[in-house]
Amino acid sequence: MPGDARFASNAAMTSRCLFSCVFVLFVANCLAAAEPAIRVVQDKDGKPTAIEAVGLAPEAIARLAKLPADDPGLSHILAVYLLAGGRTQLPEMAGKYEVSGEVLRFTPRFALRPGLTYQAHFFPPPAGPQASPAHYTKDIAVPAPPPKAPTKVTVVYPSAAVLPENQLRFYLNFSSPMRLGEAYSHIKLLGEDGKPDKNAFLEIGEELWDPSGQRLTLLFHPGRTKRGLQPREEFGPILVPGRKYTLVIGKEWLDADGKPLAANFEKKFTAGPMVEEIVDHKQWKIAPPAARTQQPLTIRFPRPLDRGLLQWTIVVHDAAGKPLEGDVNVADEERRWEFRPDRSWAAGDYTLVADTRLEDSAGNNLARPFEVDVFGTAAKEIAPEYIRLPFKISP
Amino acid sequence: MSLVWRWASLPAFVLCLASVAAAADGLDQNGNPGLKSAGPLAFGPKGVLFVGDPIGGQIVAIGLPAGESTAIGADFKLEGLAEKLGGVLGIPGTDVRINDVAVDPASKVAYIGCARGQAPDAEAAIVTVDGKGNLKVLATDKVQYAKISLSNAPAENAGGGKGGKGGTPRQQAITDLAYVDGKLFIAGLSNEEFASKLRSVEFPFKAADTGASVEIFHTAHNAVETRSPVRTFVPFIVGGQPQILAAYTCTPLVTFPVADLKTGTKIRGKTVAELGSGNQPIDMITYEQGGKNYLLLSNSSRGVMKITTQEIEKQNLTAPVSKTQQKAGLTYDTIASLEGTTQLDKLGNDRALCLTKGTLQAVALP
Repeated sequence: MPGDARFASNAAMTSRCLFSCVFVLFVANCLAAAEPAIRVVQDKDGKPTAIEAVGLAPEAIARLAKLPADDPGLSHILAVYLLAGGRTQLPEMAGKYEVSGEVLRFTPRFALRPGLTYQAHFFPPPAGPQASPAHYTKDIAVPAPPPKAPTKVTVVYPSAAVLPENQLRFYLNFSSPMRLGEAYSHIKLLGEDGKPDKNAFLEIGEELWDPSGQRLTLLFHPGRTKRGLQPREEFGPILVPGRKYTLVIGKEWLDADGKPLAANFEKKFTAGPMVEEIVDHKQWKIAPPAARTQQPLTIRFPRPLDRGLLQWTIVVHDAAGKPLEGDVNVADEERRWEFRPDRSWAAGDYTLVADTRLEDSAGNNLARPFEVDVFGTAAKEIAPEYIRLPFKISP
Repeated sequence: MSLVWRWASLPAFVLCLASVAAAADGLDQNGNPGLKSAGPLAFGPKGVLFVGDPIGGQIVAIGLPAGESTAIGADFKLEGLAEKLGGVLGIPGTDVRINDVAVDPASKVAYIGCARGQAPDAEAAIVTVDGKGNLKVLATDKVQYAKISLSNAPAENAGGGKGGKGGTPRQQAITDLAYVDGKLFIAGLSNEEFASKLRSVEFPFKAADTGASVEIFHTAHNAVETRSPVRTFVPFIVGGQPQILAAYTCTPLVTFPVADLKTGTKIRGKTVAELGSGNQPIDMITYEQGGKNYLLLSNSSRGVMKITTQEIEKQNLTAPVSKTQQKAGLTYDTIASLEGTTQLDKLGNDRALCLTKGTLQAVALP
């Protein structure tokens, strides 16, 4: 063959080869795009946010796009389940379906939880009446959060080692949020014989937590602390003066991450006499600080008051009646209240405004004792909302 | 009026009517009410669900979507409710907190107020269960709603005594909710002071109306008076007068007239029964049977109690209760077959929907 003809022949063969390769690649690509699969969409932190069914035939996509968002047919094609104990927990997770381009996307209504595994099921509609139904699954394991130090009980109020026999309330404080719903099975009041009092506490379904889940208010059963009620007649008072008790918080109590506490916690105390008087502000000792300092203003109480209520019920007002900003500290087994202002004290007149809801831990407050003898004169008084106690800071 | 002017004013007139209609049913806001918890539930006028949100410190009235649904029938039974709730919420059944079960009297669909988890920041969820046993999460991102706040922050807290990081630790547990004759009654229990507030608010909610808030007291045999948190209550007619029948946390069952609920008044409930200790009433319903009125009460330890109310007017327990007397005042039967019932609501006139040991089922009112 002459040189030019050979060249032309080689060029034609090369282009035929190239064309075949491109054609094969094109077909392969088409086939690859047609393969159904489940794809997990993640956010920038790698958390799964949505699950997509890819590889649906264009006719199927067009049909799905016309369905209302809550059509049950959508969950027959793509559904996500929690995997619990190796099996799917029915029914399928709630969420939103949408057709996005060529995929069917499911966005769970609630975020997939760290530490759990979910399973997506995809049943693409069969291509024709002769085609066998297909089924694809994909496990989605959401990484657990990094382990942290075990939660512990930080402090239980009241702090005192002698509590009145008509003690009403405790505050249990934890270093991290706790799991709700099982408080009472982990709290016991043991007598001197080590036996628990099974009817000591008021057990209510809601439990009495603060919004952070780190402080539980625990009430002794008021039916036994109050006089004249059937529970007290049936079981007697909870505390008897002179006897020793232990409040035990069990370490099996799980925190919000499902982990037990670091250790048991015990508060040992002795029951003392009943405290039945009104909280008497006239017995408070107010120690004004020095002017031009940020020393704390201090109030000493003759007996312990409620730790939770002390945080906000006493407010310092300046001469113009404006409340001062600052920090409250409670010390000396809740017998001392301190207020450190954000700004230095100026000399002059001030008023302590005390909300009469301030109680001791037996439920007596500034306005009335916990139990009021209705035949006495106390019941007839109209309780004020606030008590105002003026004090001066000398120049 | 010219034709043009008449036609031009028509859209404005229609819009006006529409907004009046929306405001007339009391739901004047549109969007997401921002529920932080779905605590007690109560149905109001048709199509309105009241949701107690103690963590959010609010009561939200939500407009329910119109549409077809299958009513729960007389023989309804759904086992493993917690696990099924867990399925739709994507968590194990043991992690679901069921706060309340209420039946919409109009559609006879059950509404379950729950939390998606046992952590304090668990998402709130309201899940409906229909007669076919289908569970569906109620969408709350775009609803008609109205709300009132139950302020937790004490009035003069601005300034001293900062609550520390994240605000105040004070919280009101909403122990019960009921709607009667245009008023919503809310019983609350503080996690700090030992107080008992019963609040009544008119619905539709009026701006700046905090309703009447009264302190409830209990007087033990006419001699000693204490503040008494209300655990659960039910509005009731006694002697032709609307009354509240309430169970105190310290166990007495009391009544007081709705007419007494005026701000500034002290309510001293009249004791009509002593329920005994270890008894935490969870739910109460009233119903009529054979011309008589009864009360069905589920409680924590004694199963479901059926109490006759014929004698309520006549009861007034003032004598001390003796040690041997297990119950005093109204007589009651314990329905043993319903032991372990934690949630209860009326289903029509002759049935109750009970959540008993994990199974949601319709039972004949005993």
